[in-house]
Amino acid sequence: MIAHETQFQLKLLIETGTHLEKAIVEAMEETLTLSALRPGEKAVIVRYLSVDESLLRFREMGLLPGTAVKLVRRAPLGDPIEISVRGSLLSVRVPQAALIEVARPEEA
Amino acid sequence: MSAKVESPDTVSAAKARRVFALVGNPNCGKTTLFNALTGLRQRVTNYPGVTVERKEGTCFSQHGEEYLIIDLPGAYSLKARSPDEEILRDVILGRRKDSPKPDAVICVLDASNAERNLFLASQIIELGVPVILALNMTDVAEARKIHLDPQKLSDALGVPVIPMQANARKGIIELRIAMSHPELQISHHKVALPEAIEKAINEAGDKTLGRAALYIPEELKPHGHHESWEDHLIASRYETIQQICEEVVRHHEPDSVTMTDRLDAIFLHKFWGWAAMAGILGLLFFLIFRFAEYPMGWIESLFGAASDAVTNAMPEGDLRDLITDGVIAGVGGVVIFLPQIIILFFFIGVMEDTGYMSRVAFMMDRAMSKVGLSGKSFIPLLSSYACAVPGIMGTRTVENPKDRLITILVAPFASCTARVPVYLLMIATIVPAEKAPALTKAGYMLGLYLLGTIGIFVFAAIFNKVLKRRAATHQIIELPTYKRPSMKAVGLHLWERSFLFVRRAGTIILGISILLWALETYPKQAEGDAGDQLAQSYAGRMGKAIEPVIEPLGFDWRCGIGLVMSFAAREVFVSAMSVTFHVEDADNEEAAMTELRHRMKAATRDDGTQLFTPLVCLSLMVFYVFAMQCVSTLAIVRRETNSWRWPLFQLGYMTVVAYLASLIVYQGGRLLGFS
Repeated sequence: MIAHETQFQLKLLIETGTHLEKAIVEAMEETLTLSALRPGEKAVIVRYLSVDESLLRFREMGLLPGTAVKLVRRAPLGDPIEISVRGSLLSVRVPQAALIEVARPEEA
Repeated sequence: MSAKVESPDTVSAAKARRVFALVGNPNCGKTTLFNALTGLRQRVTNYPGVTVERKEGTCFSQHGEEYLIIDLPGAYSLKARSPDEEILRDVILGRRKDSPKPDAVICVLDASNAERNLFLASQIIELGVPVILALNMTDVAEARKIHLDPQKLSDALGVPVIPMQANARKGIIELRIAMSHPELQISHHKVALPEAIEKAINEAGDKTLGRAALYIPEELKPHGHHESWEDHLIASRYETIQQICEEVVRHHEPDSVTMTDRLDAIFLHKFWGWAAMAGILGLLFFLIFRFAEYPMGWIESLFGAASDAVTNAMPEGDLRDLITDGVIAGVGGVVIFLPQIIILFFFIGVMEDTGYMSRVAFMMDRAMSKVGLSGKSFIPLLSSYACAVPGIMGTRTVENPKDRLITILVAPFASCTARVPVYLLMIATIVPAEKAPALTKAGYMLGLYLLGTIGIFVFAAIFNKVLKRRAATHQIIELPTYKRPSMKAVGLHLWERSFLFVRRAGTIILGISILLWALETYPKQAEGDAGDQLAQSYAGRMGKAIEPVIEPLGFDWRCGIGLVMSFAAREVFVSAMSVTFHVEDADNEEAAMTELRHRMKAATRDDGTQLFTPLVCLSLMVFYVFAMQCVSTLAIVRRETNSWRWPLFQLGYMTVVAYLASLIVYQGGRLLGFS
């Protein structure tokens, strides 16, 4: 649903030949990421939006595409977030969580 | 299925005893198991060249044979992205000359969290070393309605699996029996890999360190692949583990509310979480600040009494002075730290053991991340306001090596209790006690604390920019399930820390105390009182020698003596001033302080102007906010960073900062017309 809308926006903006960068930023914003889930909400990991080496640690700790995650709560100061994965509770900072694309179960 | 392992080839081949490495994820109960196996037969040292602690212990088999157990740092993977993981990998592979190659690895699994714990376990199995799986915390798993079949797990992985509860000593005998098995077996369990990777690893031979593929040579890496090799290896491993878990693990109520959920609802609550943290840390602070004063007072009187006894028993002379003022005072100066260290480490031990420490880190992470640190640095820094020595010892809980170093480097900026006597003396010299409202004094105090705190944050931010970051390991922290603390573990931890402090840092502190005693005693003067003696001693001469350097800060040679003498410990400044200004040892301490204050106020420079003007007092206080005037801190930094490099750097940069800050205060103040 979101993807179509984004594609349309992207096409439109590229065709008009302006604001390409802005469109990409917006497209990124449209993608549902782990950091954007509401407390208590469950989702499934779709993919990583970055190939940064440091994200391998996340994979090693079991956050792989196809894995079910739940955002348990946000820290009182808003960052980091607590997630539940494969039976363990992990604290992840928002900037890194924003690099993990997820899908709500009904969309997956 | 099994291969025979040759007799152990220990480094000290005198006694061919079996060597076991103990590994596992953090929070899997590994340390509890280590304590249960070895009891008090433990030894803590450092791996040379790195700051990773090396823990070894001995245990006895059911037949009385002695085994060596190496407790390795907790880790999630063998991929060696931190010094801890590097040590782990190298010790298991027998690549370190200082550590015998283990005959087998005991891999501890948290039964309530098998999937993630099996990731490391399966990597180790694939290294081709004999492995025994200790399936720990089965009680926690049962409570969460997770049932794990040890036999099926053993069949699937080809290694012995021992179900146990290390904290209740259940399963220890069974584990010992498995360790005494005449033939330790190597499993041939393999993770199913994609065909291309399988082929490449086989062709690479030993280069990849076997099937675990811990090291992938550049030439093997495929180009133009969207997802890297590493991703595939990790995904394949989890796939295999998931298949095994489907067979082995039965989770009856996956969505039930656990005790941890209920406790977190309070401890991580937007209001109650802060209230609980303020309460717990408030109690800690009260105990370190106030309560510790009692045992510290006892220690002081005890060493005072010992000193008096020696004074009475021995004839007057240099030897007697060396024993009373050098040795006894030096040892006393070491032991005096123990009450605060014990209190702090009791709290840290309980908070770590229960799982609350990670919650504090979770709550504080945002604030600390502003200067590039993580929430884990919060407690060590906070403790440093009482005393930097226990605070710096507390940085062991900061896993990320760079964060830990930065925390150590900035911790002494926190205004510790040793600075308070200096602040009080100087504030009293600026504003006479009779007239000054308490509020003015409190204002000065607050300002000084604030200044130190700004120092912490500014320099943490600077070091964060300057020092190279290896791997960002603090991006993801586990919040372990809450546990009842094991008093045995907390007690052992306390004992270990106190012992290490006395042995490692204590010897340095004692040595420097004796050196400083000699500097202020020699050369001997035939006449004059203690003040003249001090002025003529080496310390006094050093104070005079640095006068040209400290003159721009508004200080004269008498301040210089104070600075040199208080290099051992800041509070010594006050007694050094008492001696310099010939304040007689009055029985009444308050009267002596009033007298000292009057004499300092009356002191003049050679040209007859007042020495301790408000501006000079302010400059001196600012100097003490930033200067590293503490031998004990240097000694503990030496111990914690395992080299003289960092303590010397710290001494250098803090002295420069203190000098510049004082210079700005004094010269700036004069420019603005203050005196």
